[in-house]
Amino acid sequence: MTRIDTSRNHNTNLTNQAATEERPKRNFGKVLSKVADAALNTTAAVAPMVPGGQLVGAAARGLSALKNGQQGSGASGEQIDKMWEMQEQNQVFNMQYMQLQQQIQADNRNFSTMSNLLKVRHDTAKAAINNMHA
Amino acid sequence: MITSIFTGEDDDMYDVMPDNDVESAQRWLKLAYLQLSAGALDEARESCIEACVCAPDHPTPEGVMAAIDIARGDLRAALKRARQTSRKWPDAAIGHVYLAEANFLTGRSRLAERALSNARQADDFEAWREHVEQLELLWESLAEQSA
Repeated sequence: MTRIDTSRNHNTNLTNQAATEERPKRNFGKVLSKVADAALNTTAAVAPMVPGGQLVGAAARGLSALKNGQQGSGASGEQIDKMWEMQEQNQVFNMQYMQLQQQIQADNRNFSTMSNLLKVRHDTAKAAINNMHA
Repeated sequence: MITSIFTGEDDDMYDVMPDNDVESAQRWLKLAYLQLSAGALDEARESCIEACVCAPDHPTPEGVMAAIDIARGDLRAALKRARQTSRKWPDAAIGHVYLAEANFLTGRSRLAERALSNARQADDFEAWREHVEQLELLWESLAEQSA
């Protein structure tokens, strides 16, 4: 009888030990959450001052909202998928925008060169007529 | 009055032009230049023909004629005229330059480059240097874009 009671006490002690070990883990999660909150808030605040920062700001606010939603409800997987998809679309749009910019720059260069040529062409012909001599 | 100059409706206008000399050819060419600026391309060509008649031994009227043909979009005529000018007056840059332009516009890039190279050998190249350099710049830019 005594031996059985001892083992029961031992099991209870083990459970208490496990509970004691879990507590710091929960605290670490809270600290990490606070750090993430602070980082996201800072990013969102600083983003408008950085070139192209509106997108970063929107992303930070989105992540922040996502994090809050994750704590509140368990339906965050869909949101992550949506954000992932949006990010991919964003990359595609950025690439297209960059290509368009390059094309416009090339067109501008050609237009400028053409404009200079037309002016020089006009002036040279005029000078050739003015300088006609036998 | 100004409109009549550009369109050639006022025949008395042409009585002030002296015959058979470079001075009258110059006046015809000035008129052609003004007509060209006003978009009266056919009239400009007619004035240029008059200039060619007045100074048949001068390369400028023939060369300007080629330029007007290019402006009119008649590249075949421009090519023919510019080729004649460059052969008749090889020491004048005007024929080579407009031959280069006509060749380039008809897709003959190598001939165009050769014509520009001949223009560089001409006696009066300095007067055409900027034009030639701008042409080369544009062609390089277009070649880069198409590559």
